[in-house]
Amino acid sequence: MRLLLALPSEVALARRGDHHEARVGDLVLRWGPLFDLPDDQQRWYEDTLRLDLAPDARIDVVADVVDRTQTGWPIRIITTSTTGRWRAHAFFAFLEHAGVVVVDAVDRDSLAAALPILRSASPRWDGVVALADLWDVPIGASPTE
Amino acid sequence: LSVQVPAGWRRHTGANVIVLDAPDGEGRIRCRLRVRLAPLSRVIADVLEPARWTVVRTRIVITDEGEYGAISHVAVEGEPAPRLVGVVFGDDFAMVFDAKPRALQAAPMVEATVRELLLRSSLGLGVRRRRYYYESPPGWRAVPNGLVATWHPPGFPDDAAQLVVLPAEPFVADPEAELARLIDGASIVTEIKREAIETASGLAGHCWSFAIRDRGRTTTLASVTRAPYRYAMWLETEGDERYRDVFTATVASISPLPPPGQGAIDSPTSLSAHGHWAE
Repeated sequence: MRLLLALPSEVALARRGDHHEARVGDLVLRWGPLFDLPDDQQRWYEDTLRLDLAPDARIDVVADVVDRTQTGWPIRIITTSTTGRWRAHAFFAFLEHAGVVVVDAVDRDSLAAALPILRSASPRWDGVVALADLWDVPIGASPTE
Repeated sequence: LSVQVPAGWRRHTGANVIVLDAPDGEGRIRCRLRVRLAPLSRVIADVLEPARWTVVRTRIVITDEGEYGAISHVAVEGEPAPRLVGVVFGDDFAMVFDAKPRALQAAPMVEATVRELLLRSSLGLGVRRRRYYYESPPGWRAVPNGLVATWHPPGFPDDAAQLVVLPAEPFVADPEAELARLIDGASIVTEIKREAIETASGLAGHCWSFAIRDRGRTTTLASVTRAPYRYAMWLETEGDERYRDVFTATVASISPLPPPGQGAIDSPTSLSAHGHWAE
């Protein structure tokens, strides 16, 4: 299951394994596949903020906002300053599934440009839903035949 | 699962794989008995990658057992004759035939063989709860849950409507008992409006509309039957009529599951309400 973001058309999407990365102006956005919504969401937030930081790194939370996507999915956006890095972590809940987008920025003000992108998020569920999904190639002869 | 070995072909067996060699080495068909259920393009990619390939044409298959499938002619870069990829779709797996003629002259013989293998293949699943064909509500997205599909409108979750498509179930004759079972003891607070319905493919049944107390929402439930199956889906909204036309169109598009003994390969442009072979 994946998290979809509406990115500007000129933005190139890079894939690293099952993670995506996009550079939008000064911002770098990174996100992975959806996973089960953690039972302990506070711990989920705290653990995620510490990922890829030194164990003793100091994290200053400068903003903690509850927001919604354009269609109403809940988001919690936590903005942090850590050793000169400005970051926003967007935590999404899609039914019983969760997703995270990490936004890196050169300064706090530029993080605001990420907000419309984060609000565009939506889930894409994996798996066959309907028989019609199975015939996903044109039925009959191709135009060139 | 079973595959009938064509006369004169040699059979080799591996783990969940049967390989059939044509007389005089004219071709080879590799049958993978159980692969993960996936859309046809993914199945073809899994069979043929890393080769470069293009689907030339695809026909829908209905096996003699009444299972759905497909057969695709695929041009593979560097190969002298088109590959044929045949698939029979089970509920959570697929049986896949990858047929490779040695040369262009052998292609008709290999194609005839793989078509016969597809038609006669046996998944042995019988009459059971299973997915059936209907046209997806345009723009809506579905959450899979086993054989159940829960469709949401583009504005979900702010727009909290849902259209739930249940799998076809072995036939239940009494419509009132059927309604009681489907609503499962929920507390209904309005008069149940009931109307007879018939889909474009001739399936007949009933549509019930009512509100359920606990959820404060309006539910419209449709159930149509053709032995041995009942096909049911429901729409739940916040009390308005906005999606009634979407629901009506989805119900009307239900295509009954094919009965056993009527296997066929054809090229319909639609599996929709006019029946399997509507052009």
